[in-house]
Amino acid sequence: MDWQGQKSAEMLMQVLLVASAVAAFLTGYAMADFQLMLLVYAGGVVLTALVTVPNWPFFNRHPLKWLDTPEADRHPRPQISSTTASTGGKKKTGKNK
Amino acid sequence: MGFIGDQVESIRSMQVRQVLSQIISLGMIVTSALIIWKGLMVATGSESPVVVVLSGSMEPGFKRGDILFLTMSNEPIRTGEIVVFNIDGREIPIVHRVIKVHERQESAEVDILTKGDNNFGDDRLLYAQGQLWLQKHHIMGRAVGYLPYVGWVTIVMTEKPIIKYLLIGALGLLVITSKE
Amino acid sequence: MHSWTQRLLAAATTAALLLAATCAAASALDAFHVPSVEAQAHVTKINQFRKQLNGNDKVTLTFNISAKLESLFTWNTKQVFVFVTAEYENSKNSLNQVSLWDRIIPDKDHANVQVEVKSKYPLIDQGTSLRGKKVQLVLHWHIMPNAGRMMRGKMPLSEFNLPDTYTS
Repeated sequence: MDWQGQKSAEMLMQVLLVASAVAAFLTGYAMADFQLMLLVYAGGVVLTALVTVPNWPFFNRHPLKWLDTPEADRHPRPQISSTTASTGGKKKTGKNK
Repeated sequence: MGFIGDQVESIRSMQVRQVLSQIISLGMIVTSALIIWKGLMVATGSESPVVVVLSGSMEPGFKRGDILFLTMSNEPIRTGEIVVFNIDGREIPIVHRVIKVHERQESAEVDILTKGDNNFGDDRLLYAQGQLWLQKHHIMGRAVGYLPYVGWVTIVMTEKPIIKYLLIGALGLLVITSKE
Repeated sequence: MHSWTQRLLAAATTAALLLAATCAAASALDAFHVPSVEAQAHVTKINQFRKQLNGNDKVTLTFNISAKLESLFTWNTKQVFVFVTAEYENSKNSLNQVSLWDRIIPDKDHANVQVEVKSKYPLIDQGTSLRGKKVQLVLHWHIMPNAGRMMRGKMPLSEFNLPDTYTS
């Protein structure tokens, strides 16, 4: 699950749960049936779990774009090394390429 | 070599910190539970603000595994109320309904008789030998709120201790292994 | 670290919290419910009135009750426990409340009570103050919710006078 997917999953979970709670309360009150309220709510919770718990494809529409390897090779991470001279040399070669 | 040594050192210090922070978060969980419990005690004035119904003597109102919220107000006790009381020489408190009240003229003393809704006779057989009435000091709390089923967790845990240890172990593992 | 177990745990926690909130809301709505109970009760016969061996007055009596309790029920009502007490004052006690009869009403369909009954529990005094005593009959109810706060209410019914002498 990518970053956008995580965000939307959390949002979806909260919105769906609150919505099902409100819907359950209203139907229960309207029908004057406490058990119906619990059933509606249970349905809402199961639905929410089905939508937000598994790693569905639509949570993975914004994959992180990593730098591709040749590009990354051209910008090596600076590394602490015993010989400062060699680091400078590497940098130079990298830039020249 | 110095580089590798630094890395190892940093990892090691990280782990120490992580373990420490996890211990702290575990402590936070335990203490916040304690705070909630003690806060409820203060708010309700009852020494056990929540009790689990253990017997079927109040069915069909209260079933085994339901929980009751108790208070300890100064209002006089009247018939019809459901009270939790302790009998001398009995370990487990009883939840039953008040069916008789005799309130004294001069003193604040009161004689109470209780009965389980589902029981045939009153509670004199449950009381201590020769005890005819409950007094105020027997009363641990007066039921004001009700939630069904929630108490099954504690019933299962007290009757099957293995489940309790499994649960505690799993929770501890979860807290210790979870990062962030 | 955004695994499905974590999401499941988060969903379960939120769901439980919301369920508690919904129950609390349902219970809170009940506080605004104003029942209108109509009820009458009259003692039709004093069956027995004597002094027990331990020195307390004991009365068994028959009375009729008619009570319309439908209005006590809301959608969050699990059962209504209804009972009749005899209440009186004497020199020893400022209040004596003795249950005579009770019944559990499981639903609205059974909430219209019309019965003539013998006292399920005898009226036993603490002492011997019942001769010639004026006793008040009171109808009480105790409403048990599906979840939430329990509520009580009462309504004074008729008064009756006990005879000046013991029967039999």
